[in-house]
Amino acid sequence: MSLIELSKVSKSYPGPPRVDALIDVDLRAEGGDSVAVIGPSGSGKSTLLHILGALDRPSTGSVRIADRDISKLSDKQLSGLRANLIGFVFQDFFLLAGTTALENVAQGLLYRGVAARERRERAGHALETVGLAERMDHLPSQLSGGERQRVAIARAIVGNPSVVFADEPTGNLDTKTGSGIVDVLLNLNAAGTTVVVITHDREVAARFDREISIRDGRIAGERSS
Amino acid sequence: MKSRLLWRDTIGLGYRGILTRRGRSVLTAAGIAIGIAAIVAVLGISASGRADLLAVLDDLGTNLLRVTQGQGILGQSSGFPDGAAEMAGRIGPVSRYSATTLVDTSVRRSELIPELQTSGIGVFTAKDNLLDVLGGTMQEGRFLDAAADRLPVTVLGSVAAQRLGIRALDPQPRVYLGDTWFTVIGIVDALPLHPDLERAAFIGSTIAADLFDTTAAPSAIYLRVNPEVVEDVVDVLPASVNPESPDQVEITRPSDALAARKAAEEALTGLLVALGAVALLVGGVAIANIMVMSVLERRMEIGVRRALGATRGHIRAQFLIESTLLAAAGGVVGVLLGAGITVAFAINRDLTLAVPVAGLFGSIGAALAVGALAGLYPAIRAARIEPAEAVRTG
Repeated sequence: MSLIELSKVSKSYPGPPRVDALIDVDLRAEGGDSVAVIGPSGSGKSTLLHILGALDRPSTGSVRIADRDISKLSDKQLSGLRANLIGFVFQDFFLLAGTTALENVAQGLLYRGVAARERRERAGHALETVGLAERMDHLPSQLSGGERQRVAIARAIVGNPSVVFADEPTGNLDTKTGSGIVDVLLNLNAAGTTVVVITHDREVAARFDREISIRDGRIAGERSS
Repeated sequence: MKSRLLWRDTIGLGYRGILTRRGRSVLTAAGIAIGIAAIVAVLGISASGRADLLAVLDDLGTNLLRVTQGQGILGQSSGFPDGAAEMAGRIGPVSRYSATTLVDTSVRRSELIPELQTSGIGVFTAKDNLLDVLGGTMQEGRFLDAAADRLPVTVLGSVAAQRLGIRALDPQPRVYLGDTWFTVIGIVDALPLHPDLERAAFIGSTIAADLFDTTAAPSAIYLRVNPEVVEDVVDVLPASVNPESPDQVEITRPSDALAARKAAEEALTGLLVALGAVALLVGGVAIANIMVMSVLERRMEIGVRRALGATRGHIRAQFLIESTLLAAAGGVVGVLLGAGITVAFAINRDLTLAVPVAGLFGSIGAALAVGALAGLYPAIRAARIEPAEAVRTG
């Protein structure tokens, strides 16, 4: 049983003009994989990530996550899946302004019904994991770009998800800082979490075990090492 | 595998949403606060006024009748016969009675003031028991008694004393009544049921007859009646006091005037409360407006929360709670403000302070309802935002 299994997945937006973001995509990811999806902008990689992460549903085709058919799940069940199995990291960090790093990370456990004290405790550990133990009480505006992305990663992993999806996590960072973020993600993978990253940076993609290239909504090739 | 948000955390989210946009929250809640303050103040002030009015009614009683001579169909006025007051006094349920007779003269501060300048003060004869029947009290000095009946002394109503510029009896003031100096021996307290007597100067009937040829026929008779049978007494009164033309007798119950005033004030209160409700409604629309804007601005936050596992219901609850808390805060401030206005008003006007408890809780409830209603549409919109759309950056 694969952790994630896409078969003949297509996604189109009715428009006008009608856009076919994904066409007949077949993809599998096993537990413990580290996957980079690479492609130029507009190739459909963000749409693919949203469907992989149960944030969106395909127009046709089937998606199975942890052996559940996404098309048969209600909004509540889908949300439950995201809350418990999946962590997201975004290009623009998407931290809550005016809220400390610790509180931002603790939000990652909010929809699991975990009590406030335990949320903060686990958020502290998650921040230590990404190397930000000293920055817990800082506001996002007091952090550098790389530190903000680390906070976002801590928020994604605070609930020990099976899989973390990162959408261009290095897109807004310089090469050196970006490389540090990739280190954090690969360390996570080494600890057993499946990591799926979207990027248009060949160097970043080369560091992952599998590299799937996507072009005009179709999978154009795959390299695995 | 479920998504679960604790109730405590939902409220915390709403609270945080308000706190992170402090300035805007204050302005938004101000609308609700003004509406609630208006309603609470109006209810409080009218309740205090009503408490006062009822106290006056209780004090003065509702069993006092005032009998006067009206005009016939041709406009002629015959006047009561001599002894009309005694006739009325003989009706069984009448416990006490007194009468006044209008004296055809004027009262002035001195002879230098023209005789026509009466300041609206009438001169009446009065018996020593008048005050007792009316339920009045003395502000200064004493009322007329048997000894004063034939002396040039007078007692002034409260308004009359004020208009004549007399505040104290020491040194003994004098007023020019007709063309004789009269010594003022007393000032009567306010008589809420008898504004005409507040503007009167009372003198004894003997000296009135001597100086001004005043007859013994009364111009107004005051009766205290057994409260149970007031209506029956009203039925037989005209024929008793004026057997010749009973149709010209006018009977009033001064407490009715107060009751009418109370009804009028209640109608006004209703109107003002309605105005407050309109302000509350406008406040609700303002909240709805701001919340719709807030939802648009917070697409990213909504997207992230959905990605973190929030259900549509969680997002809806968060925004609904936020608008309700906002309105509740406005409501609490409004109640405090309204209560403050009421207290200040009551102290300023020397009214008995009455707290309309139902009104207080009612207005908080109204604020909560307005907040929840105002938040409904924005909350539904927020919940409808597609998470994948909200987190898309390029």
